[in-house]
Amino acid sequence: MTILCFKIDGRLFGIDILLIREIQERFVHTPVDRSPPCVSGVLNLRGQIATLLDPGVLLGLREEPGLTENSSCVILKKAQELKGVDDRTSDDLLALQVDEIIDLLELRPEEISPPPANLNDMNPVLVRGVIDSEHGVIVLLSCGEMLLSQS
Amino acid sequence: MLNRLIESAGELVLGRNQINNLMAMRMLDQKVVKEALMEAKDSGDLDRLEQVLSNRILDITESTGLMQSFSQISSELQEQIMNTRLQFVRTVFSNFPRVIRDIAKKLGKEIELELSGEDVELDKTIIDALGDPMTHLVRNSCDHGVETPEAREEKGKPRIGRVQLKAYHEGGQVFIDIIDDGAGMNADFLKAKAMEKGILSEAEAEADHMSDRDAFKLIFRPGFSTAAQVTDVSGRGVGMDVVRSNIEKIGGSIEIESERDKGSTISLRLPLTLAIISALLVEEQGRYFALPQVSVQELVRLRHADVSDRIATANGLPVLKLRGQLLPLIKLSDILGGDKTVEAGSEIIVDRRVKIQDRRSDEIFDKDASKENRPSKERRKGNLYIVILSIGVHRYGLIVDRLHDTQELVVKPLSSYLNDSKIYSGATILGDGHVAMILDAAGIANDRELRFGENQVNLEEEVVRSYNSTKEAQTMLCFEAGSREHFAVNLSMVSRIEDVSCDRIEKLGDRYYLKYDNHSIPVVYLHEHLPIHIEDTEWEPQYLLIPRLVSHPVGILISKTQDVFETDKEPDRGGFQHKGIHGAFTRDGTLTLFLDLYSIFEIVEPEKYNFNDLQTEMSGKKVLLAEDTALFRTVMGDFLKDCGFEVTEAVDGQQAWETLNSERFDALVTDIVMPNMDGMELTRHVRDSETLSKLPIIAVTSLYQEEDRKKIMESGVDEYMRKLDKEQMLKTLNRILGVRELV
Repeated sequence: MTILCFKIDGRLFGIDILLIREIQERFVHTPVDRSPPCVSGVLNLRGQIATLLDPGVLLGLREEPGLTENSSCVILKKAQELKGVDDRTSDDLLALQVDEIIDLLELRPEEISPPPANLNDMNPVLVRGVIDSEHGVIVLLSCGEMLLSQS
Repeated sequence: MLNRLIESAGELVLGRNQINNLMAMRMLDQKVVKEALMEAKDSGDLDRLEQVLSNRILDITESTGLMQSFSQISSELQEQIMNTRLQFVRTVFSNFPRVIRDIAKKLGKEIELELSGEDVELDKTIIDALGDPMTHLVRNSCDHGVETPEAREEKGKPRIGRVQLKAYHEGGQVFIDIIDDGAGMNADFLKAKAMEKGILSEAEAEADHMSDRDAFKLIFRPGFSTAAQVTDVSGRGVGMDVVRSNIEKIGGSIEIESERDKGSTISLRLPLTLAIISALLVEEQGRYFALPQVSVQELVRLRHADVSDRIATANGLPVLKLRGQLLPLIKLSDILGGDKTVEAGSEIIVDRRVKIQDRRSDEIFDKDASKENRPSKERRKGNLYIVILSIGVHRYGLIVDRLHDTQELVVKPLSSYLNDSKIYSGATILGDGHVAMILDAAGIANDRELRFGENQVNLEEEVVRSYNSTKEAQTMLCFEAGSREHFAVNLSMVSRIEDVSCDRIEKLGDRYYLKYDNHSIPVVYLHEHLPIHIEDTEWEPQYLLIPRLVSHPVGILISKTQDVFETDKEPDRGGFQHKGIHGAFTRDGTLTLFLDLYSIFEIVEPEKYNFNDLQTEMSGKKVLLAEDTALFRTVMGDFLKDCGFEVTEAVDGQQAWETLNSERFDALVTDIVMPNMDGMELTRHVRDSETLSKLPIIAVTSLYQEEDRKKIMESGVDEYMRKLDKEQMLKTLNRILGVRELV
């Protein structure tokens, strides 16, 4: 499988590339007042409106959405567009804002090891496993669980 | 239909190719201009540069034509696609004969179903969403409404009960009425039942002024059921609140009218389509928001000096004094809460500023200025912009930073993450590609916990009050147009006032036009058509007054708006027998001319107002005008005489009745609110009379409310309309008097 590896709050995370529709390195979004903290805004994706979420907030790493200059936007496929993936997304058009895109990694399933016991500041259901890579240890996220965590 | 779609799509592709072409040419142009510029720099010879540039400018002018056709194609395409989504109401109605048969059998009642307006079309989404709520309402009508055959006979009604489903268009919306001739609703019973169930607090119920209309609304509260016995047809206490929320979800609303032993009418008011709405754009903290036009009632701008006079505090909350009424005020910034996201949106603010620059050359913002500059500038100017929003019969004011124009917007649904904030009803994408949130008027009111009810004047009372009061003042807007004289027009004829700058005004022939993004409207300098004293013919207009109630609006250029005042005085007509002027007032020592807008438009664009044919047809027809207010009598009298009618005036219903009995008339135009005998009573007298019962009657009012229409039409008038709507009046008279159609 192929993993998109990105950085949030200085930590490395990954999600299955098959969940992703496209990646935008430059994007303009509109903040929405009175929205839940995990929502950093909405953006125009060629006429469709995508809700921009901050995985940092969803994962409980920070309280409020944080945007940096390097922030990129990962647009997820809708649930009905997924095929042969062992993960879920949402029926809505969603985008994840990540601090920095690091790499695309090809790996065999056996390279994914179960999460170590000391990953205790994160809810274990959110973690599908960890991968030891040249960039460091990447936490492979369960996108479906993450999106459910605050919807 | 499909063919036309394909045709439009083809045109769109052609347009796209043209644009591609154009883009390629522009790239080339860029190069040429750059080269010419370098050359000019080196040689100091500007002639060649000028030549190159002027050629390009010509090209650009040509390409606006392309843009225009492009925008036309896309609107056509939009309309056609919308049409493909329309379905007949018949689709929903067709289920009901069976539904009624089943229920009638089950309940042992005899019920007849009558359908009308099955050809009315609605968006597929709405049609799909209507089935369940309507089935529920029809079942209710059969179960709670229509009585058993025995009970009906006892009451002297026919054995067979009737349930009517009626669909019709009105005011750009579709109405579906569910009418039964059953027992009607009992307001006191509903109140008692609601209290018993703990849905209605004693304090609420005690309020004697809880009107019947409010009591009927109790059935929409969750957990309410009055059926003595729970049947499988209805009475399970779930339902009416769900029905209401389902209807509201598709942008509709429900009204109930009911009379004991006569029956009930449940009206569903539905939008034609969901996907595209007309909305007003407002700006707050540098961001754009859209307010659906259906809830926008009017716009108010308070000058800094007026703020303290017009805004008062009641219970610590701000209220706006608007023509004798107090409206609660809400600040949009309070609703949005804090400025946590302004930072993140700064990029957008800069973008917009550039855009605003093109639009309003009178206020140039420094592109590089920090964003804090703008709010302070606004504050210095101190104008307050308020949008008056209505939810059903209730109104409140929303304070925003800035008002923009009205646009057709494509509504996009919100994701589940944003559904919780009830203040938004959706999102949309603006012309510059940014996303704007659509605000929900009802959601905002709920958010601020605005409690409408006791302290707000109920519509019904308002109507009654206005019909009882015999003094009917005319609200006038007073302004200047470069002259020493002031001008006044009736406020109900004003659609809006816009800022203009001179460079957007173009002269073609002897007429002036104001350019918009992609269209233009004719505008007029009053001094060119009226005998007024002008000091400087080169004066610069600041605002544009756009009238309404006319089919070909012409904007009036004005230099300064004065104020709004009320008067019921008759204008002085001596010496002002000029076409376009009804008369004059003297206010605070200044001469104020009362304008006859229709005549002015006729002077400016005579070809669009060709009433001549009609005039000959109408000449000699006799009209009796019953109107107590001198001002309106003058204005309407002028309209009618202008069209060739012979007009006799009466100052109240009593006098009109006496005149009718002594002379023969072709038609009666009557005001509704009059002393001694009002318009409705006059109508009843006429209809009851042997000799006059066929007389065509047009009722006119200055307080036109769609809601009153039914009541007033029922009194026997042929038509009910706004005063001052000359075109409508002529068309109606024309129709009623059986003269051929006005072109």
